[in-house]
Amino acid sequence: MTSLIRAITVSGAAVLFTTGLALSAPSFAAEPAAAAAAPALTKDQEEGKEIAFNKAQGNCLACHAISNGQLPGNIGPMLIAMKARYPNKEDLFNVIWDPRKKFGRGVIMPPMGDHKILTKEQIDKVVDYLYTL
Amino acid sequence: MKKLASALLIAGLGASIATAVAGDAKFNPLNNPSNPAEFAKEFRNYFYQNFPQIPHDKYNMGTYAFDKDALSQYNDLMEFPPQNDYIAKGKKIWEDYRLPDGKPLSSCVGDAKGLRAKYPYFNPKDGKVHILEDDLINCQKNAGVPEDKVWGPKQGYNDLVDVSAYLASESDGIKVNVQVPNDPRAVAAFDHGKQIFFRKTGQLNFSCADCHMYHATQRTRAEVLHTGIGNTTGFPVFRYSKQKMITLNNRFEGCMRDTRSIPFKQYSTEMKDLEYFLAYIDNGQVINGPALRK
Ligand code: HEC
Ligand code: HEC
Repeated sequence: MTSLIRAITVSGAAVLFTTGLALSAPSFAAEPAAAAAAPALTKDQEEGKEIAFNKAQGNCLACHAISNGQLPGNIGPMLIAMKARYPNKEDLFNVIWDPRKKFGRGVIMPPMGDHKILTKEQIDKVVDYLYTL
Repeated sequence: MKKLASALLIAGLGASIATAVAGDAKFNPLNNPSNPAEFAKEFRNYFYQNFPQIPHDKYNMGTYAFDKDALSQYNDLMEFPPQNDYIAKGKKIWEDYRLPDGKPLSSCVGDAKGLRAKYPYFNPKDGKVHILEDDLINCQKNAGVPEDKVWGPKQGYNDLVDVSAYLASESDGIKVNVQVPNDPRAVAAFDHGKQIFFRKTGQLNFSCADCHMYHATQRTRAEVLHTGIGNTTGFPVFRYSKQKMITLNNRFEGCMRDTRSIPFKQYSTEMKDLEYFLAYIDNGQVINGPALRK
């Protein structure tokens, strides 16, 4: 399973994007009871979600569609299948800390950590939450 | 090709997956001619190429040039244009106002008809960019109006913006025709405005171009982003979400605050140069203020 994800990661993000969606389907099918209700979030994940949705904090919804987020913007890519796309948690943390490292200095996404918009602890929680998506 | 390659570098080719970035190559001001006329042409071409759905003569409509839902709402509101009250108020102020020497404002800036269309302009006498509202303020200052009676962002703002609305209506239908004369100071002012437009700033690290160029027509939440052309044509605008008429400098200030930087002061050199730059880009667009905006 992990090697499959890795293979997909290497083979290109666009493919990964769709496969990532497909990957979650069988696991739902295997547990029909859990399929209907969204899995409960841990305290950290719940806090991460609040930080991501809050306009005065992460405000990720300004640019990203996120499951259950109302009125998202469409400037950035949809935040979905994050665990499959970022199997290494640190990579995901780093993108949020300072997206310029990965996307170049022209990127519109604010450097959440580097510009002290969010603290390290807050970004950790956001990452925890993103991993549930 | 070289241009494209470096543009891609800036965009961060490394990881561009299917993002919603509208243009396929970003516009890097450093790769474009510094000559204002040629620069403006390239700048407009970026939009013409990336947004073929926007008719060239509709850029003066802001987001209504391409956002069909918003346009129908706009058309409903325009059955009874809320701007009309402001135009009427402004006309009365313009006619009644007297400077300390007993003369009207027209004695200082000229007659109302077509006045708005003469701004902004570069004045070789003082080497500075002049914008309409600031010239009205300076008329008062130079005529000896006491400090606490001079119109500005803090006091008498309603009078200032009403007069501005009236003057816009008196230039309705005239095409923007701003000049950057062959004077190093004028070119420097244009470049200064350009720099402010493209420079990333503030805690959120946004530039004007981030929202109104590279991500134009996309949405931040429910807000549709207009393009880099037509920033100046409709001003002042009546914002129905705020039930208020606002000047262009006030709008700039609002967008700057959104980047979490300390905005430049209204009617500062920075604001005037930014207005000069954007108005020059708008050359050829029809003045249609005071406009209505969300
Ligand atoms: C002002 C817009 C904006 C805001 C606010 C924003 N982002 Fe982004 N984000 C982007 C853009 C644009 C990209 C894509 C950059 C690219 O591909 O060049 C991106 C990329 C990402 C990526 C990488 C996605 C991938 O497919 O590799 C992650 C993860 C991410 N953002 C998370 C977040 C989180 C979490 C927040 C809030 C704490 C946030 N973003 C806030 C615009 C934004
Ligand atoms: C984070 C995004 C963002 C940034 C950065 C930004 N703006 Fe805006 N701006 C908006 C939104 C949203 C609106 C309202 C919708 C529209 O007209 O685009 C707006 C509206 C405007 C308007 C009014 C246009 C009209 O027709 O009513 C002007 C003028 C403007 N912006 C200029 C600027 C300038 C100059 C800068 C840089 C100093 C800037 N903006 C930076 C988001 C932004």
